[in-house]
Amino acid sequence: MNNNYKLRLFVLFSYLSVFFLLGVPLWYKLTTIHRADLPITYIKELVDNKLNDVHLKLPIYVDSQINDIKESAILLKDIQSEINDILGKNNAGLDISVNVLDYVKENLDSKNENANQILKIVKGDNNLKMVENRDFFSSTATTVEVNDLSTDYQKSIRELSNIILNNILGVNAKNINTVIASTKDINDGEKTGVSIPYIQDIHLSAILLSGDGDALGWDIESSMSKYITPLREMLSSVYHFTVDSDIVYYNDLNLHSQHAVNESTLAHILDISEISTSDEYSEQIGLTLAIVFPSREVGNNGLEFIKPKSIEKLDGSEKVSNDINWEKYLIPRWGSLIINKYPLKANSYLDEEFLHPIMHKFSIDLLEILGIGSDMMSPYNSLHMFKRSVVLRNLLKSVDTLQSLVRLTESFKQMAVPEQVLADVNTAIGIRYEIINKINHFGTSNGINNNIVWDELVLLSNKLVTVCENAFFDNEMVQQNFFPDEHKTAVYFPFLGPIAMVLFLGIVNMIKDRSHIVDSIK
Amino acid sequence: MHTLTKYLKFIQIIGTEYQTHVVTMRFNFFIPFLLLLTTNYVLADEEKNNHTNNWAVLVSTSTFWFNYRHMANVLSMYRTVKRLGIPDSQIILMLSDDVACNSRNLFPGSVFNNQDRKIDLYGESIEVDYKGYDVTVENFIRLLTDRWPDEQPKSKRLLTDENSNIFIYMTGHGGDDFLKFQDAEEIASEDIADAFEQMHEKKRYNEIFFMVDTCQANTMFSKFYSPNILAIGSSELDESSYSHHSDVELGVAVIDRFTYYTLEFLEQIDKSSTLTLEDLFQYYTFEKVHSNVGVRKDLYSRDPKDVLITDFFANVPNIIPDSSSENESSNKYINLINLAMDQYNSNSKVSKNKDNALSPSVLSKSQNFNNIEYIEDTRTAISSSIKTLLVTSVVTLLCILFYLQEAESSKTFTK
Repeated sequence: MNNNYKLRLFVLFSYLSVFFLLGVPLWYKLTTIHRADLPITYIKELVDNKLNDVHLKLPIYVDSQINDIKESAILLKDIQSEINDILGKNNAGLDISVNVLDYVKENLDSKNENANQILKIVKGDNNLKMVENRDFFSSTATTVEVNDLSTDYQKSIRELSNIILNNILGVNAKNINTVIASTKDINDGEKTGVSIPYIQDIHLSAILLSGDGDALGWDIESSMSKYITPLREMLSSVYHFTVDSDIVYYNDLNLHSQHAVNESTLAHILDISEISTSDEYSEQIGLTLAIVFPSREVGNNGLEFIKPKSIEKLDGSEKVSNDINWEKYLIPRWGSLIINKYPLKANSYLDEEFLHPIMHKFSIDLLEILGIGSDMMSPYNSLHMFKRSVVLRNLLKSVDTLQSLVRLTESFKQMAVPEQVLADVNTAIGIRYEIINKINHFGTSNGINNNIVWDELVLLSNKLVTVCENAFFDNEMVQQNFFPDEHKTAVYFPFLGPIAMVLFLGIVNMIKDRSHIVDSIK
Repeated sequence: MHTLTKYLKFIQIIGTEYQTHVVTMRFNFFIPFLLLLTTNYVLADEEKNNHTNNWAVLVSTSTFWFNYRHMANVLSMYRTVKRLGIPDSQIILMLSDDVACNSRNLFPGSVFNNQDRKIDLYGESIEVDYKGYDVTVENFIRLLTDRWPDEQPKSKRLLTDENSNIFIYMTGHGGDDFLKFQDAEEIASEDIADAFEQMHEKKRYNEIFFMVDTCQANTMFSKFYSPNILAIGSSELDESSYSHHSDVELGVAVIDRFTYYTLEFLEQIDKSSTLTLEDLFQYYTFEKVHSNVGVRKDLYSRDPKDVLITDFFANVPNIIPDSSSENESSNKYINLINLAMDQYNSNSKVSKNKDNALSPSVLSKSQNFNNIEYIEDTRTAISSSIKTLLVTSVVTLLCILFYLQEAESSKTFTK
């Protein structure tokens, strides 16, 4: 009896030890949702002070050719003090300062000259007028003609300062507020729905559509390389473009179906859904140039609402007039649509001469949809401003994404937070720190290459956005509400129930035996 | 005349009013006249609408042949949104069964939503994004929240943004706060509500129109809490949704009542239509649907009578004609184009200026940083696993030793 009792006791303890030492930890490990500890406090601090740690110091090189070195130094000092005053008053939530430097003293080398922003003050007939000379396209220098500074010196200083802030650096209060206000509305076009939000990778599609099935060809390769490639190269530090082209037969976007088509009903008749090729490329956003020729079903008069007209183009120095039978339409966030009046004849070939004005219009639409360009500034300075705003927007966007991630993890307690998400968040914080560091040191070292610094910052900020998005959209963070706690109990109870029953009955039996032993001893 | 015809049609649903978000029949003689004044049959000004693209997510959750009608429901909706210009790349079609190829289908390769079998819903090109066992709760949640592994094709993702209007249609067998998927699992109304919240948090929609045709459908949107969502269901709590009619030759019901009347309404819509969602809501009556259709509007900022049907069911592009000549505003772009040409020409003449190009090593620092993070994480994970393994092994070993010792002592005792 005693021997049997010891064996039972041993069995009981074995069960219990396996149950509690192995089973319970294993059960806990297998059923607990893993939630990595995100740096929530740090992210919340970032949200409260999104750009507080950014101290943007922009250098401007002033080349004053109207006075001697001593007077130049005074002029620069006065401009600096005026700019400080203006920026001090416009407390727009971003710490921006401008470092006015002497162009002659700093002795920029040729490499850095085109990469930095320069104000040239030259003697001229006009008083304080920006001049669009050949420098306007070939360098970042903005030339201002001055007749006499001494007449109203203070007013001249104020105007020169405003030219620096508005027309060269683009850091006036309006621009800064637009950047700070939200991650949306990077430009006016985006507000009206024409422009796309900034995204690095963009696909360009050129599609030729014919309502009939006759063979046709087009000189798209050379036209693209002549008109679009220069743009792609110029914007290569901000955008990565991929390009493809296609010819589609028996598709005139439904234009042949309605004889009474006009511009007001065009949107309702056009069917652009069939030429949406977004599944065929990996980029998230695609922009399209579609050139449509209607089917012969529209008749000999072609599409009535397309009126023949002539456009002027520069052929060398002469203006040449060209008759065209097509109309261009801009479809916001989609691209350009060229509708031709007449159907194509069999075996037609669209040469470069035909495609030239179309490509020109498409280039303009492309820039409008991308939201680059400013009325107030030279193209060089517009690009510089665009890069800066891209970097600042990406910084804001990344913090917004991290904030969303924190909100989600706090609201959904059932949601797993994998270690990879923590790693991505840490990486993002590291990249952000690197960007802020570079921005803050940008203005402190003179003579650096503006282009290289900001191109690098654009790349880094894009990487920052990608890492933050990876953290937010981690594929293991699928919320598990559809497997609630009651379900866990329902699943595990059939396993645990029988074991628990054996143990329970064993203990009862032992207690009974024990009482028998005690009774027999008595 | 056109307006009059519409009005006469509209007279049929006189007396309809909302009562705690549920359409109930109640006769009122004056209501038709009031409706004439208030509805958008008399064209009202369109309220500001910020969307620039339209998406549709169409889900049939039922499997098996006798649920033919659920597939037909979804394919009918698919045909409608496609007819109204939403491209296939912006339609996510989830079909849990392939009734077109079912051996019991007397018309192989075809699916019909009416006994007259005039429209073959499967006949024209359709792109099914998720079919059969791919139609799961997890995949549906992943689709809404866009949490996918890298290999997920773009065509099977809901790539919406803050300017997207999304129409979500679900049909299947449901109950109080749940909808069955594949006769194997179920999605709860909380799951959809939380998925919408995640979409809202990441600005993945402008507005959502959620339509569900199932028993007790109105419970499916009872837990929604994110803004700008308008929802409609075919039946209220403890109420069934019914099929409309059967096809004798097929031997099964071919469409549900709620979807049938939705399609009947949508057939009169083209891309230029000025009919509104309010008109659609008014179109449902208890006599038609045989259940109480419910609408949830409290999360939606606009009045449905100002929302065009085409805001959700169609894709109407905004087409801006070209100005006759290049105006001043296009000068800024022309300047940039000139600069691009200038740079390109000078670069092709001179060898490429390497100083302006970003060296590939620029990102090396941050990449190294990433590697360090990754290595550290891996190390932490490995050390944690080793610890767990060691503790488990020691405990097991102790148990075995204890057992052996006991067995030995018991043997000694027996001897």
